[in-house]
Amino acid sequence: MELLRLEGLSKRYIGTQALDAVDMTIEAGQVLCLAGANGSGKSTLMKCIAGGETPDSGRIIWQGRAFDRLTPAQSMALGIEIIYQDLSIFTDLTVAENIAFHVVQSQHRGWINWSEVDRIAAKALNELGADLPLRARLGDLPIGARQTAAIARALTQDCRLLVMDEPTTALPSRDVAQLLSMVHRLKSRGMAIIFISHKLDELFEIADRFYVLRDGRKIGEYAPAELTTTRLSYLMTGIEFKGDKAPQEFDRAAAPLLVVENLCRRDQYHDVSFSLRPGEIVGFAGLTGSGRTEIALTLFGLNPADAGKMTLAGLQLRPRSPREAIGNGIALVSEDRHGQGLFARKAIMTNIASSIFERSKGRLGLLSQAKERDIGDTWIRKVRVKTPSGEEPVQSLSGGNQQKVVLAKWLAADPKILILDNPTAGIDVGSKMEIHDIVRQLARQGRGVIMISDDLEELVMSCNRVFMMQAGRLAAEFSGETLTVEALSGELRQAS
Amino acid sequence: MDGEYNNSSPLGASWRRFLPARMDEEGLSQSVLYAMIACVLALIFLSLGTAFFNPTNLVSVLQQTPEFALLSLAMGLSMVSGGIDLSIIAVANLAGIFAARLMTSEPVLAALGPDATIGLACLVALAVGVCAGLLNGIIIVRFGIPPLLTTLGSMMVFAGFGTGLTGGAGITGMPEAYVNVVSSSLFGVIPKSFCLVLVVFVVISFVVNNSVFGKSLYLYGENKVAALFGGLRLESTILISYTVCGALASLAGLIMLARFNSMKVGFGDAFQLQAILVAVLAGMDPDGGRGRLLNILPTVLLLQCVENAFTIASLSPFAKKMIWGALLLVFMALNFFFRRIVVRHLTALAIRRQQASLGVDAPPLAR
Repeated sequence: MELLRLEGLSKRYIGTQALDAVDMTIEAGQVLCLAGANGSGKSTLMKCIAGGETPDSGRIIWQGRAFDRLTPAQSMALGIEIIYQDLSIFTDLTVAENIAFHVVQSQHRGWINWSEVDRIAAKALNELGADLPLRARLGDLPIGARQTAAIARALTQDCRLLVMDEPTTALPSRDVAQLLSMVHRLKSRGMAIIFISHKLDELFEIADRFYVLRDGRKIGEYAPAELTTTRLSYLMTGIEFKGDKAPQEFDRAAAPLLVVENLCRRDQYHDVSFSLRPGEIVGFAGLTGSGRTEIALTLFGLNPADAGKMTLAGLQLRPRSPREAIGNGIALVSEDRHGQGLFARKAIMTNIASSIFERSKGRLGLLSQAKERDIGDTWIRKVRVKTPSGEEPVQSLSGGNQQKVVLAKWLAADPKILILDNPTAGIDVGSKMEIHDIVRQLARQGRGVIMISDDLEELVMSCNRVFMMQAGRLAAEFSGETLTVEALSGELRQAS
Repeated sequence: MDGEYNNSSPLGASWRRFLPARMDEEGLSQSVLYAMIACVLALIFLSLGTAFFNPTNLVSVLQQTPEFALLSLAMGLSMVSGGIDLSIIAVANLAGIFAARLMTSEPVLAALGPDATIGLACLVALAVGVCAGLLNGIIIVRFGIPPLLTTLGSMMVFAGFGTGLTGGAGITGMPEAYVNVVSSSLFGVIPKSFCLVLVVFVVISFVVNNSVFGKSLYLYGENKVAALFGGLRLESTILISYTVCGALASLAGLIMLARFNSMKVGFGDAFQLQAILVAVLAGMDPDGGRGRLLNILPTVLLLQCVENAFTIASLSPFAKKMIWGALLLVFMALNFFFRRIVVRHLTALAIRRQQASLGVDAPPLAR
């Protein structure tokens, strides 16, 4: 029985077409796995269903009733529930309060009937086949229990369609098994489930159908039997791995630029040691939360290590702020380019020049518009930002060109070491290749590059060596012949 | 390759194609502001004619603006970084009280003579402003307390300090030379105090637009996290901005002291909210990162003209407040309306470029 159908859903933001005429159908009692790389439009699509975003065009048809858009209240009334990655729970309330929250709120009684709260919570947990202490403060319970409570809360709402956005990312593997069995249970009761996850193995365990989204477009729908994990990741990224990896040559005898020895930080990473030579590109693969980004932030002065030693060109390195790190010649292109990399409403040239304001100022600390424009124009040309003028606000550019502006900003600062955190996430294929070109060129100029990425092809194509991080440790190193997408994804599967 | 962008806006047959290809919200709200000023002046001219537009009245408008303009500039400057300075009136009062105390003190006058005393009093007042601003800045930067709370607290501290110094009473009887300097005119026409304000506006707005300090301040206001990740010098920038706010406030206090020939705590309290109104009306974004400080001066003059016109037409002061509020609301509504058009325009532009960029073949990177 068809429950929900989406027809030609489109949504655009400044800089990107997030959804481009997407069609989707989901039936009751079915688990649909939504697969797509970062920035492929998965979350925008789910927000359109939940009522958080208004689609520009297209229709949402729920059991024959057509809507141009849904408000959050409408969506909940229809029986659509979303469990976000952050769970949206109240850590200071008890388990029972969290579960019964919506029901109690919708009764408009004014007073809370505590025995009924317990009854509602117990019933929902029972349906899930889970057992939690009702009166415990939810924030005191482990992450798996919180997840269970969030699912139970959805059940109190007469939920017909449950969307789970990366529910397993933060879960230990024993809890993952329990979660998957809950999903089976809900499915057998006729509930439709949309399951989003980056861990492809899990998807194969529970999927009835796969739906692949890339760059806001539907790539196709597949039965699990038609797919393998390799095939699925090709469909998601659109990059066929042709084995044309072209790691650059660099002087292996040169003195290392950066040496990291036994670096530790509680609960984040342990005993991390590696070195980086001039011209070398070192990759870090691993799951989110495995410690990759945390090490990058430590090098950049934002997340001081508890123990261990960092040496930059023979000198001890211990930056206490990004300013100091930059002063030492370290630059970080962070994953969140809107939040951390760009001044969205400011001109492109201002964004680029911002990293070298102090170096380019004249007498009296003044920096003329002309000088700023000069710097901007030079780099716009060098990294080939597609824009009619450097005075345009950065937010008028497409995602790929915005990322080139971030790169240009750091290149202008002439860093010794460039750290890239998922540099091409959410960027179209053309710009992706150009950015890879720029990175190789930088290495050829004798800089050291650290590349953190979820995109294994990208790592294999660009890096001389790749470390696999797992629970805060460097679990394995790949280079030369052993550095292949298959080897990396095999290791990654073991990690999850 | 540039050619593909220069044919501005093939957006269809709507009037929107007349919009320039490059449009920023800052320029837009500036146009709205000046259009509004023109409309209001035209209305005043139509209803009052030469009763308003005569040299004497126009000079009196100039005479009434200086302290208001300086306080609004201080408010606008604090808004550039996304902050606010609620302590400016208290600082102006406190600086004025210090100056008044010195200038009316017999032993100091006897020892230094009137001219040197006036000079000393002015220096002390400015120092009070600088210290007060520095204190605000240090609390905001070092302890990370939001500017709204910091300056709300320091406002009470400064006002309390001023009350303690004076016992709440006013200090009157400034030396005649001091009162005369401020009320005298250049070439017998333009009030000297207004000339000073003009110079201050031009200098501050030039420095903020062209210095590393000013650019860092705007970028911090635009995106605090990106400013941190970009390694900008943030602490000293914020510190300097609040220090300048304090100095401007103390300058306003000195001018108030001369105009009223007296000073007490609570003088000019009404300026507090009006300064916020002016700053926003002039296009300063309370969230930070946008707005041109130089626009504050015409905005202050506009409001002063409206006030003057109301006095000439002998309307109630309540009507004045109503009109000021209405101007702000109209301005906000217009800006909101135009901004939506701009955002749509930028979105369409970006989409077209993204589509264009997909087809372009990339020659190797030049260095």
